[in-house]
Amino acid sequence: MTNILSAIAWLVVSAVLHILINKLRLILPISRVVILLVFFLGSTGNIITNIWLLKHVPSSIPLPLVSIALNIALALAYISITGSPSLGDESPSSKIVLSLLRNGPQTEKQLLKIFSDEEVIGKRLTDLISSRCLYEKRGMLIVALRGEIIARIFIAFRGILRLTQGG
Amino acid sequence: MIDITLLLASIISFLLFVFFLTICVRKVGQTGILSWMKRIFIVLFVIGCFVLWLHFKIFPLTTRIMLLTVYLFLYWALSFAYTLGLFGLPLTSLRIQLLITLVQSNRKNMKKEMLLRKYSRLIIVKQRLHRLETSGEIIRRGNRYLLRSPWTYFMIHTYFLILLMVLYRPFGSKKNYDI
Repeated sequence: MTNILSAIAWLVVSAVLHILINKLRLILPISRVVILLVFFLGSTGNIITNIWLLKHVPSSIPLPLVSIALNIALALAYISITGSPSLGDESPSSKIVLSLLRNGPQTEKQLLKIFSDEEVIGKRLTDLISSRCLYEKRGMLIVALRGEIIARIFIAFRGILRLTQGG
Repeated sequence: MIDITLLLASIISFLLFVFFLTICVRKVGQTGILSWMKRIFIVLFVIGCFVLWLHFKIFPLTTRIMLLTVYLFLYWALSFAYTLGLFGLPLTSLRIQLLITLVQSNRKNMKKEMLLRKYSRLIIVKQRLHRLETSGEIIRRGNRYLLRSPWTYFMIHTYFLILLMVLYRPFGSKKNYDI
Protein backbone atom coordinates (compact mmCIF):
# COMPACT_ATOMS: atom_id res chain seq x y z
CA MET A 1 0.00 0.00 0.00
CA THR A 2 2.90 2.39 0.66
CA ASN A 3 3.80 2.15 -3.04
CA ILE A 4 0.25 3.18 -4.03
CA LEU A 5 0.25 6.02 -1.50
CA SER A 6 3.55 7.21 -2.96
CA ALA A 7 2.01 7.31 -6.46
CA ILE A 8 -0.97 9.35 -5.24
CA ALA A 9 1.17 11.67 -3.08
CA TRP A 10 3.51 12.52 -5.95
CA LEU A 11 0.53 13.18 -8.21
CA VAL A 12 -0.94 15.57 -5.65
CA VAL A 13 2.43 17.39 -5.38
CA SER A 14 2.63 17.68 -9.19
CA ALA A 15 -0.99 18.88 -9.41
CA VAL A 16 -0.47 21.56 -6.75
CA LEU A 17 2.69 22.81 -8.50
CA HIS A 18 0.86 22.74 -11.86
CA ILE A 19 -1.96 24.87 -10.44
CA LEU A 20 0.45 27.34 -8.79
CA ILE A 21 2.58 27.82 -11.90
CA ASN A 22 -0.55 28.29 -14.03
CA LYS A 23 -1.89 30.91 -11.62
CA LEU A 24 1.37 32.83 -12.00
CA ARG A 25 1.20 32.56 -15.81
CA LEU A 26 0.58 36.27 -16.37
CA ILE A 27 3.64 37.17 -14.27
CA LEU A 28 5.94 34.33 -15.41
CA PRO A 29 5.20 33.64 -19.07
CA ILE A 30 6.20 29.98 -19.23
CA SER A 31 5.05 27.77 -22.09
CA ARG A 32 2.16 25.44 -21.20
CA VAL A 33 4.15 22.49 -22.51
CA VAL A 34 7.03 23.32 -20.16
CA ILE A 35 4.60 23.57 -17.25
CA LEU A 36 3.63 19.94 -17.89
CA LEU A 37 7.18 18.96 -16.91
CA VAL A 38 6.06 19.07 -13.28
CA PHE A 39 4.30 15.75 -13.90
CA PHE A 40 7.49 14.28 -15.31
CA LEU A 41 9.29 15.43 -12.17
CA GLY A 42 6.53 13.91 -10.05
CA SER A 43 6.86 10.56 -11.84
CA THR A 44 10.63 10.65 -11.37
CA GLY A 45 10.13 11.40 -7.68
CA ASN A 46 7.75 8.46 -7.44
CA ILE A 47 10.26 6.10 -9.08
CA ILE A 48 13.00 7.20 -6.65
CA THR A 49 10.61 6.79 -3.71
CA ASN A 50 9.69 3.28 -4.82
CA ILE A 51 13.36 2.28 -5.13
CA TRP A 52 13.94 3.64 -1.61
CA LEU A 53 10.87 1.78 -0.28
CA LEU A 54 12.08 -1.51 -1.80
CA LYS A 55 15.44 -1.13 -0.05
CA HIS A 56 14.36 0.22 3.33
CA VAL A 57 10.69 -0.58 3.97
CA PRO A 58 9.90 -4.30 3.91
CA SER A 59 6.44 -5.12 2.55
CA SER A 60 4.56 -8.39 2.17
CA ILE A 61 3.20 -7.25 -1.19
CA PRO A 62 5.50 -4.67 -2.81
CA LEU A 63 3.86 -3.02 -5.83
CA PRO A 64 6.54 -0.72 -7.33
CA LEU A 65 5.59 -1.35 -10.99
CA VAL A 66 1.90 -0.77 -10.32
CA SER A 67 2.83 2.40 -8.41
CA ILE A 68 4.86 3.77 -11.33
CA ALA A 69 2.17 2.87 -13.87
CA LEU A 70 -0.56 4.30 -11.62
CA ASN A 71 1.26 7.60 -11.16
CA ILE A 72 1.77 7.98 -14.92
CA ALA A 73 -1.85 6.98 -15.71
CA LEU A 74 -3.27 9.35 -13.05
CA ALA A 75 -1.01 12.15 -14.34
CA LEU A 76 -2.28 11.60 -17.89
CA ALA A 77 -5.89 11.53 -16.63
CA TYR A 78 -5.29 14.73 -14.66
CA ILE A 79 -3.71 16.49 -17.66
CA SER A 80 -6.71 15.41 -19.79
CA ILE A 81 -9.23 16.79 -17.29
CA THR A 82 -7.41 20.07 -16.74
CA GLY A 83 -6.47 20.72 -20.38
CA SER A 84 -9.40 23.02 -21.13
CA PRO A 85 -9.66 24.77 -17.73
CA SER A 86 -5.94 25.52 -17.73
CA LEU A 87 -6.35 27.14 -21.17
CA GLY A 88 -9.23 29.22 -19.81
CA ASP A 89 -11.65 27.55 -22.23
CA GLU A 90 -15.32 27.48 -21.46
CA SER A 91 -16.89 24.31 -22.81
CA PRO A 92 -19.85 25.25 -25.06
CA SER A 93 -21.84 22.26 -23.76
CA SER A 94 -21.21 23.29 -20.15
CA LYS A 95 -22.22 26.86 -20.94
CA ILE A 96 -25.48 25.60 -22.46
CA VAL A 97 -26.41 23.43 -19.45
CA LEU A 98 -25.47 26.22 -17.01
CA SER A 99 -27.67 28.66 -18.92
CA LEU A 100 -30.56 26.17 -18.78
CA LEU A 101 -29.96 25.71 -15.05
CA ARG A 102 -29.88 29.45 -14.37
CA ASN A 103 -32.52 30.70 -16.81
CA GLY A 104 -34.85 27.74 -17.27
CA PRO A 105 -36.09 26.32 -20.61
CA GLN A 106 -34.81 28.17 -23.67
CA THR A 107 -35.02 27.95 -27.46
CA GLU A 108 -32.00 27.35 -29.69
CA LYS A 109 -32.09 31.03 -30.69
CA GLN A 110 -31.94 32.15 -27.03
CA LEU A 111 -29.06 29.78 -26.33
CA LEU A 112 -27.19 31.04 -29.39
CA LYS A 113 -27.22 34.58 -27.92
CA ILE A 114 -24.96 33.52 -25.04
CA PHE A 115 -22.15 32.79 -27.51
CA SER A 116 -20.13 34.99 -29.81
CA ASP A 117 -17.95 33.87 -32.71
CA GLU A 118 -15.00 35.70 -31.16
CA GLU A 119 -15.42 33.89 -27.86
CA VAL A 120 -15.93 30.42 -29.32
CA ILE A 121 -13.86 30.47 -32.51
CA GLY A 122 -11.68 33.59 -32.34
CA LYS A 123 -10.09 32.72 -29.03
CA ARG A 124 -9.22 29.22 -30.21
CA LEU A 125 -7.81 30.52 -33.50
CA THR A 126 -5.59 32.90 -31.52
CA ASP A 127 -4.41 29.96 -29.45
CA LEU A 128 -3.67 27.88 -32.58
CA ILE A 129 -1.66 30.79 -33.99
CA SER A 130 0.31 31.28 -30.75
CA SER A 131 1.09 27.54 -30.61
CA ARG A 132 2.29 27.74 -34.24
CA CYS A 133 -0.28 25.34 -35.67
CA LEU A 134 -1.57 28.18 -37.86
CA TYR A 135 -0.22 31.48 -39.06
CA GLU A 136 -1.91 34.54 -40.46
CA LYS A 137 -0.72 36.23 -43.64
CA ARG A 138 -2.52 39.09 -45.37
CA GLY A 139 -5.80 38.19 -43.70
CA MET A 140 -5.52 34.50 -44.61
CA LEU A 141 -5.27 31.70 -42.08
CA ILE A 142 -2.64 29.22 -43.23
CA VAL A 143 -2.02 25.79 -41.74
CA ALA A 144 1.55 25.36 -40.52
CA LEU A 145 3.35 22.02 -40.70
CA ARG A 146 2.70 21.30 -37.01
CA GLY A 147 -1.02 21.97 -37.45
CA GLU A 148 -1.18 19.80 -40.56
CA ILE A 149 0.48 16.86 -38.80
CA ILE A 150 -1.94 17.12 -35.87
CA ALA A 151 -4.94 17.43 -38.21
CA ARG A 152 -3.84 14.44 -40.33
CA ILE A 153 -3.40 12.25 -37.24
CA PHE A 154 -6.93 13.08 -36.11
CA ILE A 155 -8.38 12.67 -39.60
CA ALA A 156 -6.86 9.16 -39.62
CA PHE A 157 -8.19 8.52 -36.10
CA ARG A 158 -11.66 9.66 -37.15
CA GLY A 159 -11.39 7.31 -40.11
CA ILE A 160 -10.72 4.39 -37.76
CA LEU A 161 -13.71 5.40 -35.62
CA ARG A 162 -15.83 6.14 -38.73
CA LEU A 163 -16.76 9.58 -37.45
CA THR A 164 -17.97 12.14 -39.95
CA GLN A 165 -18.06 15.36 -37.95
CA GLY A 166 -16.65 16.53 -34.69
CA GLY A 167 -16.36 19.72 -32.73
CA MET B 1 4.89 -11.56 -9.41
CA ILE B 2 1.75 -9.96 -7.89
CA ASP B 3 2.98 -6.60 -9.12
CA ILE B 4 3.40 -7.84 -12.70
CA THR B 5 0.08 -9.74 -12.58
CA LEU B 6 -1.85 -6.64 -11.49
CA LEU B 7 -0.08 -4.46 -14.05
CA LEU B 8 -0.75 -6.92 -16.89
CA ALA B 9 -4.38 -7.39 -15.84
CA SER B 10 -4.96 -3.62 -15.86
CA ILE B 11 -3.22 -3.10 -19.19
CA ILE B 12 -5.06 -6.01 -20.84
CA SER B 13 -8.40 -4.73 -19.54
CA PHE B 14 -7.53 -1.26 -20.81
CA LEU B 15 -6.53 -2.52 -24.28
CA LEU B 16 -9.74 -4.55 -24.50
CA PHE B 17 -11.67 -1.43 -23.45
CA VAL B 18 -10.06 0.54 -26.30
CA PHE B 19 -10.76 -2.28 -28.76
CA PHE B 20 -14.43 -2.75 -27.87
CA LEU B 21 -15.03 1.00 -27.66
CA THR B 22 -13.61 1.41 -31.18
CA ILE B 23 -15.86 -1.39 -32.49
CA CYS B 24 -18.83 0.20 -30.74
CA VAL B 25 -18.28 3.67 -32.20
CA ARG B 26 -17.86 2.19 -35.68
CA LYS B 27 -21.20 0.36 -35.29
CA VAL B 28 -23.41 2.84 -33.41
CA GLY B 29 -21.69 6.19 -34.10
CA GLN B 30 -21.62 8.99 -31.52
CA THR B 31 -25.22 8.56 -30.36
CA GLY B 32 -25.41 6.78 -27.00
CA ILE B 33 -21.67 6.20 -26.93
CA LEU B 34 -21.44 7.28 -23.29
CA SER B 35 -23.80 4.48 -22.21
CA TRP B 36 -21.86 1.93 -24.23
CA MET B 37 -18.59 3.18 -22.74
CA LYS B 38 -19.90 2.60 -19.21
CA ARG B 39 -21.18 -0.88 -20.09
CA ILE B 40 -17.89 -1.93 -21.71
CA PHE B 41 -15.90 -0.60 -18.76
CA ILE B 42 -18.06 -2.37 -16.17
CA VAL B 43 -18.19 -5.70 -18.02
CA LEU B 44 -14.41 -5.81 -18.47
CA PHE B 45 -13.90 -4.79 -14.84
CA VAL B 46 -16.18 -7.60 -13.62
CA ILE B 47 -14.38 -10.16 -15.79
CA GLY B 48 -11.01 -8.87 -14.62
CA CYS B 49 -12.09 -9.03 -10.98
CA PHE B 50 -13.33 -12.60 -11.39
CA VAL B 51 -10.08 -13.76 -12.95
CA LEU B 52 -7.93 -11.97 -10.33
CA TRP B 53 -10.11 -13.22 -7.48
CA LEU B 54 -9.40 -16.81 -8.52
CA HIS B 55 -5.73 -16.07 -9.18
CA PHE B 56 -5.21 -14.52 -5.73
CA LYS B 57 -7.15 -17.18 -3.84
CA ILE B 58 -4.20 -17.94 -1.53
CA PHE B 59 -4.46 -14.46 0.01
CA PRO B 60 -6.85 -13.45 2.83
CA LEU B 61 -10.09 -11.67 1.93
CA THR B 62 -8.93 -8.15 2.89
CA THR B 63 -5.74 -8.50 0.83
CA ARG B 64 -7.69 -9.70 -2.19
CA ILE B 65 -10.10 -6.75 -1.89
CA MET B 66 -7.13 -4.37 -1.64
CA LEU B 67 -5.50 -5.87 -4.73
CA LEU B 68 -8.76 -5.65 -6.70
CA THR B 69 -9.13 -2.01 -5.64
CA VAL B 70 -5.62 -1.29 -6.96
CA TYR B 71 -6.52 -3.06 -10.22
CA LEU B 72 -9.72 -0.98 -10.54
CA PHE B 73 -7.81 2.23 -9.85
CA LEU B 74 -5.16 1.57 -12.50
CA TYR B 75 -7.66 0.30 -15.10
CA TRP B 76 -9.91 3.32 -14.47
CA ALA B 77 -6.98 5.79 -14.72
CA LEU B 78 -5.80 4.35 -18.03
CA SER B 79 -9.36 4.25 -19.49
CA PHE B 80 -10.18 7.73 -18.26
CA ALA B 81 -6.95 9.23 -19.66
CA TYR B 82 -7.63 7.58 -23.01
CA THR B 83 -11.31 8.58 -23.15
CA LEU B 84 -10.78 12.22 -22.24
CA GLY B 85 -7.33 12.80 -23.66
CA LEU B 86 -7.45 10.93 -26.94
CA PHE B 87 -10.84 9.42 -27.77
CA GLY B 88 -12.79 12.57 -26.90
CA LEU B 89 -10.60 14.93 -28.94
CA PRO B 90 -11.70 13.94 -32.47
CA LEU B 91 -15.30 13.98 -31.20
CA THR B 92 -15.46 17.27 -29.35
CA SER B 93 -12.32 19.42 -29.67
CA LEU B 94 -13.05 22.73 -31.38
CA ARG B 95 -9.36 23.38 -32.07
CA ILE B 96 -8.97 20.01 -33.80
CA GLN B 97 -12.13 20.65 -35.84
CA LEU B 98 -10.82 24.09 -36.92
CA LEU B 99 -7.51 22.56 -38.01
CA ILE B 100 -9.27 19.75 -39.90
CA THR B 101 -11.62 22.22 -41.65
CA LEU B 102 -8.60 24.20 -42.86
CA VAL B 103 -6.55 21.16 -43.88
CA GLN B 104 -9.47 19.65 -45.80
CA SER B 105 -10.07 22.87 -47.73
CA ASN B 106 -8.45 22.89 -51.17
CA ARG B 107 -5.50 25.12 -50.48
CA LYS B 108 -5.04 24.67 -46.70
CA ASN B 109 -5.64 28.36 -46.23
CA MET B 110 -8.76 30.42 -45.79
CA LYS B 111 -9.98 33.83 -44.82
CA LYS B 112 -11.28 34.00 -41.28
CA GLU B 113 -14.75 35.08 -42.50
CA MET B 114 -14.97 32.04 -44.79
CA LEU B 115 -13.91 29.74 -41.96
CA LEU B 116 -16.65 31.22 -39.79
CA ARG B 117 -19.18 30.52 -42.57
CA LYS B 118 -18.09 26.87 -42.69
CA TYR B 119 -17.83 26.45 -38.93
CA SER B 120 -19.55 29.02 -36.75
CA ARG B 121 -21.13 29.23 -33.30
CA LEU B 122 -24.46 28.22 -34.92
CA ILE B 123 -23.04 24.90 -36.06
CA ILE B 124 -21.30 24.35 -32.71
CA VAL B 125 -24.45 25.07 -30.69
CA LYS B 126 -26.61 22.82 -32.93
CA GLN B 127 -24.09 19.96 -32.59
CA ARG B 128 -23.83 20.35 -28.83
CA LEU B 129 -27.61 20.50 -28.39
CA HIS B 130 -27.98 17.34 -30.47
CA ARG B 131 -25.27 15.58 -28.43
CA LEU B 132 -26.74 16.65 -25.09
CA GLU B 133 -30.24 15.59 -26.19
CA THR B 134 -29.21 12.15 -27.50
CA SER B 135 -27.21 11.46 -24.34
CA GLY B 136 -30.25 12.33 -22.23
CA GLU B 137 -28.75 15.35 -20.47
CA ILE B 138 -31.41 17.71 -21.83
CA ILE B 139 -34.98 17.26 -23.05
CA ARG B 140 -36.71 19.05 -25.87
CA ARG B 141 -40.32 20.22 -25.40
CA GLY B 142 -41.63 21.92 -28.50
CA ASN B 143 -38.92 24.39 -29.49
CA ARG B 144 -37.47 24.73 -25.97
CA TYR B 145 -34.68 22.80 -24.29
CA LEU B 146 -34.60 22.06 -20.58
CA LEU B 147 -32.41 20.11 -18.19
CA ARG B 148 -33.47 16.59 -17.32
CA SER B 149 -32.03 17.07 -13.82
CA PRO B 150 -29.52 19.44 -12.13
CA TRP B 151 -27.57 16.34 -11.05
CA THR B 152 -26.85 14.43 -14.26
CA TYR B 153 -23.39 13.08 -15.06
CA PHE B 154 -22.66 16.06 -17.33
CA MET B 155 -23.81 18.61 -14.74
CA ILE B 156 -21.47 17.07 -12.16
CA HIS B 157 -18.70 17.21 -14.79
CA THR B 158 -19.57 20.89 -15.42
CA TYR B 159 -19.45 21.80 -11.70
CA PHE B 160 -16.06 20.11 -11.53
CA LEU B 161 -14.86 22.06 -14.62
CA ILE B 162 -15.93 25.33 -12.95
CA LEU B 163 -13.95 24.38 -9.84
CA LEU B 164 -10.91 23.68 -12.01
CA MET B 165 -11.33 26.98 -13.86
CA VAL B 166 -11.39 28.81 -10.53
CA LEU B 167 -8.27 26.95 -9.40
CA TYR B 168 -6.45 27.56 -12.68
CA ARG B 169 -7.49 31.20 -13.22
CA PRO B 170 -4.24 33.21 -13.34
CA PHE B 171 -3.89 35.92 -10.71
CA GLY B 172 -5.21 39.17 -12.16
CA SER B 173 -7.42 37.71 -14.92
CA LYS B 174 -11.20 37.99 -15.24
CA LYS B 175 -13.50 35.13 -14.30
CA ASN B 176 -15.21 32.80 -16.77
CA TYR B 177 -18.56 30.97 -16.49
CA ASP B 178 -20.61 33.90 -15.28
CA ILE B 179 -23.05 32.16 -12.93
